[in-house]
Order: sequence, then structure tokens, then C-alpha cells
Amino acid sequence: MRRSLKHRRNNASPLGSHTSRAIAILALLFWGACPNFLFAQLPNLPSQLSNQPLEDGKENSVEQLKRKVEQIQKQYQKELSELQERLGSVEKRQSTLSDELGQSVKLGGYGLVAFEDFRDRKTTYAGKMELLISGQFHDRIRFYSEIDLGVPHGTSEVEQGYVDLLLTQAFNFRAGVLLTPFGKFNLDHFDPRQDLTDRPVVARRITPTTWSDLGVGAFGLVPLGDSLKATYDIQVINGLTDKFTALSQGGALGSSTGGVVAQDIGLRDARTGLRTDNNGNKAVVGRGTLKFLDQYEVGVSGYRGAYKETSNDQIVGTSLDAEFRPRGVPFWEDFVFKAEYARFDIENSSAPSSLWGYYAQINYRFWPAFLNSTVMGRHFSNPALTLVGRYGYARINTAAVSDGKLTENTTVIGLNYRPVQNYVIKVEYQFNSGQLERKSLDGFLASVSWLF
Amino acid sequence: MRWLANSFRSLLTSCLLLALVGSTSCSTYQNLVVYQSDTALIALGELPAGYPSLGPNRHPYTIDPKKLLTLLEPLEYREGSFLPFAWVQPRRVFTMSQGKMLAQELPKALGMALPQEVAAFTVADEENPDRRTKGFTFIVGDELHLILEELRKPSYLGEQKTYQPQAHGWELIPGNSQRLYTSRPEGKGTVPHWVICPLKP
Repeated sequence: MRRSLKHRRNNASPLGSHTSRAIAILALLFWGACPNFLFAQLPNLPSQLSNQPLEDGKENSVEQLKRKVEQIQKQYQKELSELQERLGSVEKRQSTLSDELGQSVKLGGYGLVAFEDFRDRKTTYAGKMELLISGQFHDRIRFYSEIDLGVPHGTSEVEQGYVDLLLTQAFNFRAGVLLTPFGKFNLDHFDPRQDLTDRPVVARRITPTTWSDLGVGAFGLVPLGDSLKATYDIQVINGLTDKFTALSQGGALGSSTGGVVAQDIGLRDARTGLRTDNNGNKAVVGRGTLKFLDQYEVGVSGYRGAYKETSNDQIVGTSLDAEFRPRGVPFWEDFVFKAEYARFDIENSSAPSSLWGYYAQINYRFWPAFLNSTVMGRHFSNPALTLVGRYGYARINTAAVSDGKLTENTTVIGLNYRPVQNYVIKVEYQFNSGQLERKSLDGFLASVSWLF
Repeated sequence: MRWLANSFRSLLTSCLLLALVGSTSCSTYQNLVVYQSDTALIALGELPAGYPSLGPNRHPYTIDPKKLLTLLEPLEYREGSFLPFAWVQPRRVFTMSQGKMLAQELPKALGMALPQEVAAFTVADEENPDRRTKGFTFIVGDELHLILEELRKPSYLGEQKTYQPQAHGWELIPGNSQRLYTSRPEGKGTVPHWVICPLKP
């Protein structure tokens, strides 16, 4: 524009000075007559001429800035994705490391101190300390050990010490000192997990809990549907021996209530104590379960094995157990029902010839809201009280007594308090009648047990 | 006192019979698969028996995948260390890609769900595909409930006996404004595998 104006000026036709003056005067007059027009136009003309390049420059700057922002954004996104990748790989490494650390080895244990006061007997404390070591030294090889530290007997012993080769869900291999899969109570015998201090009479006099032995076995889980699954655990072990206690201490019993029944009458002394097999014939023991909705469990166990050193006479055992833990059902979800039956028949033995017994138990878990503000509830997120009732019966058929049998009936009513799941204070009262262990002495028991 | 023992024995027998009869009346439910891949499965179905009924769920429910991602991705858990009473560093429940996949697919499931249904999910671990994380989500009121039944559990392990106390123990760590479900009034009875996330501020 400027160039064209200049061009116009330079190339203006040569007018005479008069003419120029006249034009100049006319122009001045016109300017004076129409100042608004001129003010309106004249300032605008040079403004338009000078702003256009400025806007162009601004547009260029904005474009440049946009490009720069885009570049920065792209770079930022690239760096962010790199960081995310790195974070992901770090998380994976952390995850793997945590798995390895978490699975390598775990230490734990449980303990019990119990007080008992039975009529006509001295009060006493009893106790138990067990060490638990478990872990994995490969993703598919795990070990588990439960070591009784020898309280109160003074001799520590391995109750469990096995290693698992995890092959498939349905078939896995186990070897070592194995907890014998006969009845549920023997498998689930940890004191802090139980709601009463005393074990059921069937688990003491008939099934010799805690019962473990050297051997090998297989176990697995077979899903039978969305809600139903079956499990099995079968073992070949050294088996029970003929060292079971048949008679009373200090001579034969004259009557069903006379004499002193040996403390470990029954099969408790027939356990091998992890010694070598007395007869070379291995025993087979196993338990199968059906679990419905993970709430209703029914188990069947069997045992068969020679027990004498020189003959093939067998001990044959069977057991049935059930445990119902209704969940999500109003009212019933606070209850747990348990029951177990066990029987052993001993070939060519008269003292004892057979043993059997059972127990049934009901637990009611509750927590009154008014206890939340007390010391029992204030500091704990999940405290609970459990009211427990159990009835148990055991019978040992033996020719060592005139009646031909020794029996025991036990009814227990108890209450326990768990501020946390793995610490429990229990109190209970027993009504007993019979000739075994507690005889007809009623009594009070209390205990504190813990698991970590 | 003997009458008390005898009465108790009768009561116990009755209760056991009732429980046995009750157990046979449970029904099963057919699940509807919403999403399935080599590493994940999302299906609609009823919450398995054993969980308390919180009333009809607010389904179908529309939830923004981005919102769900902000809830799932930062969710952490802690597990027991090799030493008693010690916990290892908290870890994310879902990896980034698991979180994205779930945030993408779960809203579709929740958008189709009936009031009595929940969205069940199973995702395989990226590093070890034979480990899986399994759980349920559903909406009650304006809150998302997330229950984890299994966390990176090896599928070959089979039955994890609950009476083996050394088994893999873990608990969810609720984030800001989140909380664990409690089964009893006044915040008692916390369930460590069940987290509740408010969807509205």
C-alpha cells in the first residue's frame, strides 16, 4: 500500500502551482467543513495499515505457542507413558518379591494355659505351647511344621512336619509327619480355634487326638458344581500298634466303677510316637468330604491297618463328621453345629475289643451392643462372645471289667470371649458320669489360648 | 442338674436336625456371562449364600468407567509377613491393566444387572496366570460394594483349609472416604475382605 501511494505520488501528473494551491485551499476548506468525517476516516486509514502486520505477528506467535504446547504435551505424554511402564515393571517386581518373601517362611505358634477344678480332685493348671513354621521354597512345594514344645511333659515332639508337592487341584502329594485324616477334630485340633477348653471325650478316648504318623499321602479338591465340592486326603502310614492300654492301673477292675482306670486307656498309647513300624504292614487312612456352599461339610473317614508285631490282625476304624455354619441367614448365621462319630474294632483283642463314641456341639456367637462402650469392646473391631453347649459319649468294650464296657457321658456348657479372633478366654462347666477319665466328677474349667 | 444335661441333649439333637433339613432347601442360580477372555471373566449372578442380604441392590446402575477406575486402581491390601504380628508393604489389588479392564467391563455388567444380582469377576495374574483374584461388586444406595473372595490365589492349591492358620492371610485397606463392611452395629465386626466405596462426594 505504502509503495503504491509513493508510486502514485511520484507519478502524479505535473500540475501548475496555481492549480496545486487551489486544490490545497479547497482541501483545507473541505477539512474545516467536515472535520468529523476527516477524523473518522483519516485516523483509521493509517491504523488499518499499521495493525494488520501486528495481527499477523500475533497469529504467528499464537501458532508458534500452540505448536510448542503441543510439543510439550507430546513430550509429557511420552515421559508419562515411560514412567507408567517403569512403574508397572516396578510393581511387578515388587509383587514378585513380595510373593517370594511372603511365601518363603512364616513363623507362628499357639499356646494354652488352662485351669481345672473337679470335685474331689486337686485343682491344677495345664498348658501347651506349639511352634508353627510354614512356607514355600518353590511355587509348588510348601512345607508345614507344628512342633509341640513339650509343655507340660518336658519332651518336645513333632505333631506335623510335612512337605507338599502341589501338582494339580485334584491331586497333590504329601510326605513327612502327617496329621492323620481321621475325623475332623483331629485335623482341626488347635486349642485357640476351639470354643471349649476340654476336647470331646470321643476325640480323647476313641480317636487318639492329636494323632500323627510318618507316611506319604495324596490330597485334592474335585469341584462337583458351583456350590458343591469334594475333597479327599488319603495316607499310607506306619499305623497303630498293639501298645494300647487295656487294663486299669494297679490290676484288673473288679467292677465297672472300681479300681483306677489308666489315664491313657484306649488307643492313645497305640500311636507309634513316630517310631518305626512294628510289623512292616502299612496302614491306610483317609477322609473324604462333601462341602456345600462352603457352609455345610460332611466327612467320612476310614482306617485299616495291622497292629500286632507277629500277626495280621487288623484295627478297623470309621468316622463320620459334620459341620454346619449357616451364613447370610438371619438368626441362624450366628450358630455353628458340629458333630462327630468314631468307632474302632480291634481283631482278636478282648481288652479292648472295640471303642466308639460321638459328640454334638452347638455354638451361638453374639455381641451385645451395650458392651461396645466397655473395656471388652471399646478397643476391638470384632469382639465376640460365644455360648457353647456340647454333649459327648464314649464307650470302650473290654473284657477287663465285669460289665464288659467302660463309658463316659459328658455335658458341657461354656462361654468364651474373643476380643480378636486369635485370642480367647473360655470358661465352662462339665457334668460327667461314667468310668473313664473324669468319671462322675463334675467340674469347672477355664483357659486362655492364643494363636499367632 | 441332670435334668439340665438331658434337656440340653434333646435341644442339641433338634437343632442339628433343623440345620440338616435347612441345608437341603438351598437353591442354585445360573450365572450370565457378560465378558470373557483368556485372563478374565465377568458374570452376573446372585451373591453366594453366606453373605448378609443388604436389601435389593440399586441395579441396573450407570457408573462412569473413569470413576470406577479411580476406585479400583488405588485399592490396596496388606498381608502377613513371615514374622508374627508384622505386615509387609501394602500392595495394589489390581494391576494397571486389570484395573482398566475391570473399569471398562464392570459398568456394562452393573448396567445390565437386576436388583438381586451382583457382578462377579475373576482375573488372572499377569505374571503368574495360574494365580487369580476373584470377587463381587454391587451397588447399594450410592455406594459400591467390593468383596474379594480370593486374592492372587494359586488355582492348583485346591482347598485351603481354614484350620491351617499359616495360610495366606490378607486384608483390604480402605482408601479415603472408604470403609470396611461391619457385620455388627457401631462399627463392630469388620469384614476385612469387603470394602465399601461411596460414589457421591
